[in-house]
Parts: sequence; structure tokens; C-alpha cells
Amino acid sequence: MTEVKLQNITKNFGLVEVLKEINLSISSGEFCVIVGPSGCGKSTLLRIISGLESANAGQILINETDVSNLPAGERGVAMVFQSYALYPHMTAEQNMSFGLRMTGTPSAQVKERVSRAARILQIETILDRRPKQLSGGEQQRVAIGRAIVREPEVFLFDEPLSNLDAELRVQMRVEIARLHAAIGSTMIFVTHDQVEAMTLADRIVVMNNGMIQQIGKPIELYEKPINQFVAGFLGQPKMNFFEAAVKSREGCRVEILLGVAARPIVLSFAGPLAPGDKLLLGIRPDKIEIVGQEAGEIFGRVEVVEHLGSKSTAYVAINGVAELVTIEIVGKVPLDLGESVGLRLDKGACHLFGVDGAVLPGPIN
Amino acid sequence: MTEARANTVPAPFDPWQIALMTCLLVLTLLFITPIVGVVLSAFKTSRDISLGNFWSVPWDLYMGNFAEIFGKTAVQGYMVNTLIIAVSATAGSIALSIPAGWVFAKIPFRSSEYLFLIIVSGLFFPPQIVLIPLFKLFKELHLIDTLWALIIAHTAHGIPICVLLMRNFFANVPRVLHEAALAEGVNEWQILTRIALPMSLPAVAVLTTLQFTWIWNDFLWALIFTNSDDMRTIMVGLVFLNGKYLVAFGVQGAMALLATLPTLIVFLFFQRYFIAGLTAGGVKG
Amino acid sequence: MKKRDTYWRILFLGPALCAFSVFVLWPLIDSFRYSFTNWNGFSSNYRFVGFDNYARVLADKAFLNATVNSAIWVVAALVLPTLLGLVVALLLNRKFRGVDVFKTIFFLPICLAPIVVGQIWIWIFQPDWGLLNTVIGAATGTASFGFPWLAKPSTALVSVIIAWSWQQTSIAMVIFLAGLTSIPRDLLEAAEIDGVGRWKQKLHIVLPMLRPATAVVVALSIINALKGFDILYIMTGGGPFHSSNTLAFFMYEESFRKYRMGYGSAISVVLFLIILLIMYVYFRQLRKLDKIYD
Repeated sequence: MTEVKLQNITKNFGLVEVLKEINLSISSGEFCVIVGPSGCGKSTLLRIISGLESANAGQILINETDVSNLPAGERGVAMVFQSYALYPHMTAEQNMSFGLRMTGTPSAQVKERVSRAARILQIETILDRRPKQLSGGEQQRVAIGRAIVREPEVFLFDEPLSNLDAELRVQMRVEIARLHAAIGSTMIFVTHDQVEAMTLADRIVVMNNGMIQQIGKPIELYEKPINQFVAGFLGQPKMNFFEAAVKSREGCRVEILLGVAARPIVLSFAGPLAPGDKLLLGIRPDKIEIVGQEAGEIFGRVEVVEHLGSKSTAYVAINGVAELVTIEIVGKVPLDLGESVGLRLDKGACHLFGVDGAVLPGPIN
Repeated sequence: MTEARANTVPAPFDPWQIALMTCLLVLTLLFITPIVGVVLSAFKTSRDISLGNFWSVPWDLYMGNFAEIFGKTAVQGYMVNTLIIAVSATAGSIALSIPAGWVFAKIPFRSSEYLFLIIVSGLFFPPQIVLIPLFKLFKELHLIDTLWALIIAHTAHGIPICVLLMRNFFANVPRVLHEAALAEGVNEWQILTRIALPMSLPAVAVLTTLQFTWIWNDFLWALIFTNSDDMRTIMVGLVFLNGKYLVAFGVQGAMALLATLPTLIVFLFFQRYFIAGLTAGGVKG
Repeated sequence: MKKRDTYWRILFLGPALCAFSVFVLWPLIDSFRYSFTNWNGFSSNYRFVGFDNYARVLADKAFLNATVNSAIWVVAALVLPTLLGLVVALLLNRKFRGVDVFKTIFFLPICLAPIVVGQIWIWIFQPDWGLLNTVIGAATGTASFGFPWLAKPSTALVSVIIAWSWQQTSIAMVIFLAGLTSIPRDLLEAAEIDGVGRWKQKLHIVLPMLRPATAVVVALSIINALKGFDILYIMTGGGPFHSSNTLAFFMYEESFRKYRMGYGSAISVVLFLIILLIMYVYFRQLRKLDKIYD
């Protein structure tokens, strides 16, 4: 089993710092997902791990061996590309066996490995076809098969599901999860899709602007984000954010005034906050309740309602807040467009962030 | 241009199409006449031609001209020489240019753009410029009046066009494939020969055709670098024998046909790839 | 990793670079050297004569004559094969039965050697039974129209240029055809739906999209016109009385017939500079046009 350690990895493209002192330890057998928006540096980081790019500074250790100066083919990693990268003039079987054949693996062994991989991925019947003749999902499986036959220490996935249509994406997600369960190798998976991150990862690494924002188990990051970016990135629909200021404080009882809220919101907060402090309040769409106008703490008008069958999403316009507030409701709810409603927040589920984006420590009720 | 739509209603009488076709036919006639003339003349006796019958159809084919030139060992020699030179130099320049093109396309370095431009600029100057220095160089190497001079010269001077076309074609090989192979531990040579080259066969076909034709048809260098009859190429031989056969038009015609045969065969063989190759690699470059 | 790359670069690029440097680059540089000497081609003692050769070149009437002829050829090259090639390509870019036959016919001249092309056209221009005179004779009713096209100073050069254009048109046509086939059909179909007539389609869509191809055709035609040698050699030998002498032929004459290699080198250097100048101006113009249209 394989551990991967990244130490102080820095990468510049010209004057642009793409990766800033990245430190990361991935344990053996872990499924680690690196997630972040476009341009955050995640793909570059993966390519540096693979050896296709080299870092300007820092080391990469695979099982305690420094591989930073080894070429890609000698690191014991296998990579699955977003565009599959299958050799168009070879059959699926030849694609999978190409690397092994070129590096001198005896043909009996090659055959055995290819058929084993084909069995795992259920592509035995298409081995003699060319990529042109395969569907997107089949091509992706051949690409994964090509990685499996090399029996690598680490599997690297570079946004492998981004080219697939929505339905196929869900299917392949399940396949990859199954694969990890079956093989158990260390896997590093890069994606911009937070759903993939949440569903596949043992641990998630959230990146933005070349820096790691937070590392942890999916549920940890979801429930306890350490900054506004992570809070807003994970979770579907996105967390709602309100600009707020502290109105008054008495021991643990804090009154917060949201923008143009009619009534202050009362929280029980043990952390450092003084009257007049500005902050950001974040709350997830499923933690807001729509109530009558009298009971609400915030008031607004329903602009759009989306009915998805098992749940509905309402978008409410609040005076003085630029974006619509998203509210998730279980089941159907009789809301009229244009209806004036009141919103009540689940206090215990509020996240408070300082103006710098970092979460304010201390329990909230 | 779109054709007249003809599904259930028969196409109407289109004067525009007629005009275009007439135009085309006239041009075609103009174009094909010279070639037709040569072909016809090869099958007539020279006396026949000089009596004014160059352009008539010889219903009784006279094969004597061909017999005469095929019989000449000198002519056989010319063809063999030219074949040796053309095949060797074509193979040589293509073999040298394929790896070079790969470097410029996929593993460039800081000064590679300049280097590339220098090599490609070799296309721009007329061969006359290097004629004298090359002559002197081969003289010093004692290669004048051997086939080697021509083989070497043509191989070297084929490099600019071959490198240009190969680089353009290799640039079209997706970068991901290169990376995927590298990640698998495959080395550059294997990538070039087993992935890039099979994907670029049209380019190689075009190059082979162009190079072979250019070298086979060369006159100036063969004229300058060879003196004796047994080192002559077919083009020089054609001119040389014309001097001897001043009024033997039939024989001259037969010679011209013979001299053209190999390039014609190569062209017809590779014709399908030609336009595909030009579109993808050449015109944009 | 970088070391590995360097290894492959040297291995792959090395041989080609060596061959190119020794047999192309070095001779090019060397020809500059010889232009400053009075070498005659075979003796081993020759001396440095500075710019003498160049001074002589510029004062030489024969040089002026050759330059004028080359210029005429270049102008003809810009017009004749380019336009004809375009017309034929446009005519052949349609689908009709037998279009491939026509394509092959127009394709054939390309594989002919310039020597053979010259030979063929000698027969066309033949005074007594050549096709041209036969046709003119039949058309005008003159019994035996025997104008000696290649033997008269006034028509020798033009005749060679026509013969050359015949082959060059084929080359132009192939390049234009390749360019035409790369124009997506939907562009023209969109225009058709909008009611744009065929001519306007050609003018405003097809022609602008053919600019890269046209650039290649023009550049190729100019260079080939300046390089033209074989066809001249066999048809007129530069004569009669040097009336069809061009820079390329002039250089050959001086070096290999009159054994004035130093002088010949100087001529070739001047020819090279002329080509560089034309190419420089040409590419400047191209870039200007690109800026206007893009």
C-alpha cells in the first residue's frame, strides 16, 4: 500500500504563482479528492505528482522515496485523463497493453493483466474494437483499464467524468467507487464538481488560488468549514451568505442585525464578538424555514420556485440583498410567485465568518 | 457551389451550368493538348512527324521508338541511376526529417523556433546559390561524377520541406496522447514510431511523392555534379540524347514518356492522400 | 527529466541538423565567400578581390537584361498561373459525374519534369508543324504560318513563360483545391438561405477564406519564377541573343560556361538578396492585410 506526501510544492508559470507551498499527506489506500474551481491549481498539482510537470520547489515522496526527479513513467503512478487519451489506431486491448509491451513485460503476463482488468471493468466484449467504435463510457473504462494493468502504486484521475453526460457521470461515479472498494489502491482524484468530491472521497482537499483551503472528511468539511470559501463551495444548493453587524452582546447572548432585517437575530455565541463588529452569516438552504410574516426574522418576496418532485427550491428576494436567498423545502409547498414571506433561520446551523472569511470559533446555538 | 436540387422534379435547364461546363471543357482541351501530343508522337515514326503529322492519331501504333530507346543500354543506365538516387535520397530526407519534425512539434526548447525557421528558410533560396560551393565541396570529397554527390545533395536539400510538413502534421497529434504514453513509461522513440507515425501516414505519403518527384525531375544538379555518361540521370540524358537525335521527334517523344513514367506511377498511387495531406499540414503552414 | 529530454532532442534533431548544416547552410555561407574572389572553378589559386565582382555586376548590361527578364517572369507568375489556377479550382470544386477525371487531367502536369515540359512546348512552338502555328494557320486561313516563336528575340521569353505557366497553373490549382475543400459547407448554405447569390457568395465568403491558400500560391509562383532554369535551358538556352536570359540562367552561364565562378557567386548572392527583399515586402503586405481583415 502506498503513502503519498507532498512537501512545500511551489509552481510558477512565468510570474504567476500557481501553487503556493502545498503540503499534503495521503495515506495508503485512501481515496483523496482534490476539488476546487477552475484555475485553482488542482490539475497542475496532479500533473506534478504524476511527473508530467515539475515543481519549482518542493518534494514528492511516494512511500518515503523522493520521486521528484523521476520521469513520469518511473514513479509507479497511472493516470486517467479527462479526454481518455486513447490511441486511435489501436484496439481497446492494444491500448491497454501498450505501456506494458513497450516496457518489456513478458506477453503472458500482459495477457493475464489485461483480461483481469477487462473482467473488473466489464469490457471483455469490446476489447477488439477501436476507440472510434466505442461510446464515451466504454472509452473511459478502457482508459481506466489501461491504468489498472500497470498495477500502479497510485491511481491519478484528472477530471475523468467531466466529458460524460449527466446520467453516465452518475454511473461511472458508482463504478469508480466500486473499483476502489475492489482494488483498494491509493487514488487521487481531481474534479471541479463538489458532488463527485462529496460522494467519492475518503478525504477531500479543497483548493483555491493555489492554496489548500481545508482538508478533511466530506462530512467534516460540510458541517465545519473553516472559511467562507469552503462553506460556499461544498453543498448543493450553495450556502446563503448575509452581511451582518453585531447589534449588542450580553454574555453569550448576541444580537445580530442582517443587512436590512427587520428584527435582529439572537444567537448564543461564546466566541469573540463585540458590538459594531461586521461579520458574515452563512446558512444552508435546508436550514431556513418559510413562515408567516409575523414569525419571520427576514422578509422577502418569492421570485422562483423549482419543483423537483421530492423536494422544492424557492428563491426569495430580500430587500437590500443582491442575490436571491435559496431555500430548500422537503416535498411540495404551496407558494405563490410574488408572495411575501417571512424566513426563520435555524440558529444552531448558522456559520459565522469574520470579514476576512475565516470562521469564527465558538459554538453557536 | 450547390447543384440544382433534383429530387422528384427534374432539374430545370440551367444555362449557368452549361456555361461553366463549356468553360471547363475549353480549358481542359487547352491543358491536355500538350500531353496528348507527346503521347501520340511517341507512337509515330519521326519521318511521319516531320511531314506534318505530329497531331494526328496513329491508328497503327509504331513501336519502333520505344524499341530503340529500350534497347539502348545508356538509357537503361540513366533510368537505373535516377532510380537509385531518387529512392535513396527520398528515404534519406524523410528518415532524417521525421524525428526532427517530432522535436519541433512536441519537445521544443527555447531556441527551437529559430532553428526551425532557419531550416525552413532553406526552401526560399534558388538552388543556383549553393551550386558552386556544393560543387567545390564535392570536388574536395572526390564525389563529383558519382551518384553519391546527388544522393547527399538531394537528401540534405529535402530536409527543409520534409521537416516543415512533418512538424505541421505532428502538431496535430493530440498532446494528451503524448502525455498518456509518457505516463505509461513509454519512451520518445516508441511514441514517435508507434503512435505518431501511424497517425500521420497521409503526411508521409505526401512527402514521399513530393520528394521523389522533385529528385527524379532534377536537371541542374545532375548536370553539374556528373560528367560521364554512366553517371547520368534520365533528365540530363534526355537533353543529351536530344542533341544527338535532333530531328528524331518520335524517339524524343518516347524518351519523354519513359522519363515521366515513374513519377506518374508514384503520383497516381498516392493521389488520395495528397489533398488530405496538403489540407491538414501544408496550406496553413 | 530535463536531461532525458535533451538526450532525445540531440538524438532526433542531430542527424538532420548535421546534414543541413554541412550541405545546405555552409554552402550558402560559402557562396558569399566566393563572391568576393576571382575563382574560376578549378584552379587552386585565386585571390580575394573585395567588392569587384559586385561592382561589375551592377555595371553589367547583361545583368540588367537578365534582371528585367526575371522581373517580367515574376509579374507573369503573379497573374497567369494564379488566376488560371483559381478559376480551374473553382470549376472543379463541384460534384458532377466525371469530375475526378478532370481533376486527374489537370493534376498531370505536376509530375512532369520541367525538362519534359520544355520538350513538349518546344513541339507546340515548332515553326513548321507545331500546334500553335497549325491552329493559327487554320484559323486565319494562311497556308503555312511558320512563325519561329523560340527563335525570335521578341517572343522567346514569353514562350518560355507560357510553357512554365502551364505547369505552374496545375500546382496553383491543387493548392487552391485543397483550400476550397477546407471551407465548411454550412457557411455557404447559411448564405444561400439568406438569399445571397452565387457570385456574391464567391466574392465575400469563398475568396476571403482562400487567403492562406492564395498566399501560398503567390509565394510559390514568385519563387519558382525566379528559380526557373531547366525549362529555359532546354527551350531557348537563354537566347536568342540573351533575349530570354534570366538571373538564374545568367549565373549558370558565367559560372559553368565562362568559368567565372567568383562572378557567378556574386550574381547568385544578388539573386538571393532580391528574393529576400521580395519575400520581406510580401510578408509585410500579408501582415497588413491580415490586420485589416481580422
